[in-house]
Amino acid sequence: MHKFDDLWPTRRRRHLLKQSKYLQYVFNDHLMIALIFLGGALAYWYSQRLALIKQPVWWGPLVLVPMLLLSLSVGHLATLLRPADQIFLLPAEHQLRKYFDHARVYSLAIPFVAIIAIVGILTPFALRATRIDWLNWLFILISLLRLKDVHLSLQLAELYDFDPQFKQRWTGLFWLFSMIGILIGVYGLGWLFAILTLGLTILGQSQLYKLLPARRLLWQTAIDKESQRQSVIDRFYNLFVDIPGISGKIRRRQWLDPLLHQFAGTKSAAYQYLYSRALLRRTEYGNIWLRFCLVGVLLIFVINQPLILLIIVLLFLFLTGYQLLPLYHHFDHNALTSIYPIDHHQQQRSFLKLMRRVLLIEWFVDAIALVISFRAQLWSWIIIAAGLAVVLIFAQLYLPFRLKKKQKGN
Amino acid sequence: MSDTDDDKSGLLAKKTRRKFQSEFEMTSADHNSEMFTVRHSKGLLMLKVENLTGGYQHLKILDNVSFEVADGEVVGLIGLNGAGKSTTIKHILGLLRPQSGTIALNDQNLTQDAIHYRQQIAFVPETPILYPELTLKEHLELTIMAYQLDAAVAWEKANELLEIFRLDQMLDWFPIHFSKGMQQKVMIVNAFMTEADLLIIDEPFTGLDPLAVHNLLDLIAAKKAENKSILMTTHVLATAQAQADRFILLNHGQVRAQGTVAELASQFGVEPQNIDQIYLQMARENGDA
Repeated sequence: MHKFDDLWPTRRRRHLLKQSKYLQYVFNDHLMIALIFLGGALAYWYSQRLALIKQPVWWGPLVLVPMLLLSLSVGHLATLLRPADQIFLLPAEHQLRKYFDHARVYSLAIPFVAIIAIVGILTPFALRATRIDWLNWLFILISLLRLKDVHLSLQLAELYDFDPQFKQRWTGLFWLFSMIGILIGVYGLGWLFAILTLGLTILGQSQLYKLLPARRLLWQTAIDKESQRQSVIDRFYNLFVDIPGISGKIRRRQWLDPLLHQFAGTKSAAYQYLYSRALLRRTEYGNIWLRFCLVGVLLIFVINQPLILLIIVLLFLFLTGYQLLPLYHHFDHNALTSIYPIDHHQQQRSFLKLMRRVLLIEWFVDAIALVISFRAQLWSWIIIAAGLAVVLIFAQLYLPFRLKKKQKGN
Repeated sequence: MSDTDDDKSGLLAKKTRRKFQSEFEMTSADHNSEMFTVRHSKGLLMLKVENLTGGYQHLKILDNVSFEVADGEVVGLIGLNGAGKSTTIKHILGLLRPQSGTIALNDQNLTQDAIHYRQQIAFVPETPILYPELTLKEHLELTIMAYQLDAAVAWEKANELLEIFRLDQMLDWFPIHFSKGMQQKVMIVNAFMTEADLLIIDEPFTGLDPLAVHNLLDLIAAKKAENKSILMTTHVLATAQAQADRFILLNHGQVRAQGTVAELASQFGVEPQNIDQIYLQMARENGDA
């Protein structure tokens, strides 16, 4: 018989095992290379921009405040509750306090890393663009870490039957306090921000733990919130590997029908007919493509460093193709595909044809954006030519090789 | 089907097929190794399953199953749950590979020419199989494309079927959001709009409203009149008896008996001549009833 105290360590172990299983797919070699390139490009761009800042600028604090607030919003309370807990853990509700303490501490890990990373990245900017010194910047970091703990405590309180308006007020006050605190921090009063945060932590958490035992846990709310949290993570993993029980949504997207005919072709083969519809209507494929197209265009208009743009355009074209790879096997488990008199030799041909068209359209959109943004400069033509080369190499050489390798693996 | 219909049937267009003896004898061993004889009169042999042993990788479900379905014949494949009906169908469809034995459609098997073999079969599954990302219209377009049908003719037929099953106003809908019964109707329309020589229908009446059952029976009769063959599994025996020429009784993965209702009734010593009674008698022999 298991003790209640063993519940959290057991669940945490299983949860971590699951995460490590899926993370190895996320950090596969291709994506890592792509991320290193992207990180390098962004770091280069950042250093170039920093070099332009010689003295504090009025807009420095205004950039820092939203960025630091954003860092505070990273991470949610991971309770690891399951639907059946509502029945099986109901008699042990009074013992859950310790379980949730473990959950809160565990949930701090990722936000702490994120806050430290964001503050770290912002440090050179903060020290150049504002009048803040090292010590006060450190106070801001410590305050943010403390505030994240308060934030998670508030998320825990939301799972109990407090008055909803009361909860809304807490949350509103928390963000107001954080914003004002960060603001006074970046204007050089980091120590004051730290003192106020310490006071809030002591007062808030002591009050919370006084009130919580008298309140009833809203099981359904707690389970729903945890399911939503897990589902966001699973959906992210699902971009890289098939997660059981996770599938994207289907949208009719009638406005994309002209594109559908482009992808499916006029004398379309069955597989091309199927692939084109799955690509444009399933959110897990269509959104990837649309997102890369739109963000690509946006970056082309925002970034005016040609070398960085070259890297980003090529990277986005490669990533689009790479992320769409699971589409190849999308219909493998539908019995109708096996029963219908479809020539299965056309599967790879159809997929390659579709991918070529998809990437060429993205390349064409990028090309138009580049010509508008950079005019007819030499760099525009270099990026356009390099993009076309990447599309052709990806669709004609890499993809057939990759599919062959996958089939051998199967 | 009358002899006149047989004469008129598509035999002329199918000269290449092996001529099936107008009356043939087929023997098969039942679970007691008792030999029995099946006689029926039809034109061409459509489906021939011979000594089929199979199932899943490490699980043998079918044991030496043999039966035949002739042109224009409606055959009911019946048996208790777990008898091997769906497994037999999966083997015929090529979803499972036989461990031994052969399956031939018009003398052709799946390994010789998979596409041509599959073009001869249309399937209505027990649980509707749909493409979630396709509208009803697109499901039908895909069927036309896969079976290489003449689009104009196929659409004319499809429109009739859609009207019969009251789906004609739903062409732009996603069938994945339909009720189970309506999804079943989509599968029926998909299968019946093809020119396939053999229709395999797995539990066709499940989830259908009485009007749809009536319409389906009419469609089965019409296909029969076109000299198409139908292999149907069902537990709704009395309804199936209205259209089936013969029944094959599967029991623990073996063919326990096959023949017309009269032949089976005499073999099981059952009166009145009713497939329900025959089925119950088989279950009693098993100790299941």
